[in-house]
Amino acid sequence: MFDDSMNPEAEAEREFDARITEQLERLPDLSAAIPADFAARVAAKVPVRRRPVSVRTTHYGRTLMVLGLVVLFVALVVLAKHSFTTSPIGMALEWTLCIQFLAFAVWMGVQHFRSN
Amino acid sequence: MSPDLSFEQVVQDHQAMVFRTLYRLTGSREHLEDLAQEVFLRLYRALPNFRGESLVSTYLYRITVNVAQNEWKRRKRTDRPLVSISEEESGWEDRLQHPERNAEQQMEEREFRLRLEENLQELSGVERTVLVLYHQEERSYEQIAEALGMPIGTIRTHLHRGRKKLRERLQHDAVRERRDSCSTIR
Repeated sequence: MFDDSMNPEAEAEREFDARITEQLERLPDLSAAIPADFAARVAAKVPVRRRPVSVRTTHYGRTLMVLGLVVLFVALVVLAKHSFTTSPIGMALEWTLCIQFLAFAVWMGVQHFRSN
Repeated sequence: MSPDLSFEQVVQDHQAMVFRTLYRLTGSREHLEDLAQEVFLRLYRALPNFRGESLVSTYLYRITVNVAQNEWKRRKRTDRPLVSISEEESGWEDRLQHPERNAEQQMEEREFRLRLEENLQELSGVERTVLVLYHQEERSYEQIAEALGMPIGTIRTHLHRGRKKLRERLQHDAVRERRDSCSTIR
């Protein structure tokens, strides 16, 4: 049987491969190339990260809007109870309040739809 | 511990690996510090998106390879001749490394290493990268595949092809050298 280890050419080839592997695995000595304060310098160069600021949503506008709707609704009910609406001024006032109420309601509905 | 201090620790832990990988990939000590700095700054910028799916070291290898690729492109653009490792080394460190070997053996070893380094720079970027990560950095096929974003089979192919090319070139150099020395003796 042919034994590969007896073949001097194969042996030389293996030795050559081993030399290549040895050199490839050799770690280059770069201790002199790395400055002692390299890590500190890099850390000093990085931009400072700002802490995320938590912003609490206040919803002042929405609260006012709801308040406005309630006030308008009450005003409309009060006006409707009185016979004041039969006069042209009363009619105009009631229609104005009614349009404002609808405008507020539509605007709030759109805002609510968009936020979802 | 403040975040900056922990980042400094990350740099401290990985700087040797980044320097030696860049050195082998670019084949030069020139701009090594700037390139290493670029690697860590990129890592810092990427850290908020880093979800720990892979090791920081694997991520760093990827960035290091990208920075080295940019350096190759820059050199190509400026058409600068590569300063080979052989031109930069003084050789004294090497002479002191193996005091048990005789001077001739050490010189032969040194020449072999320099030839290997020069031939390594002649390989394609991906072959060189795979050889360096596999042999020098002792990364597994999986880790190299993850770092380079390639399938494992492709990594195996590049490794095999790179080693074959390197062996052939070194053998060719050795034959030529032997022929030259024979003609000088005659």
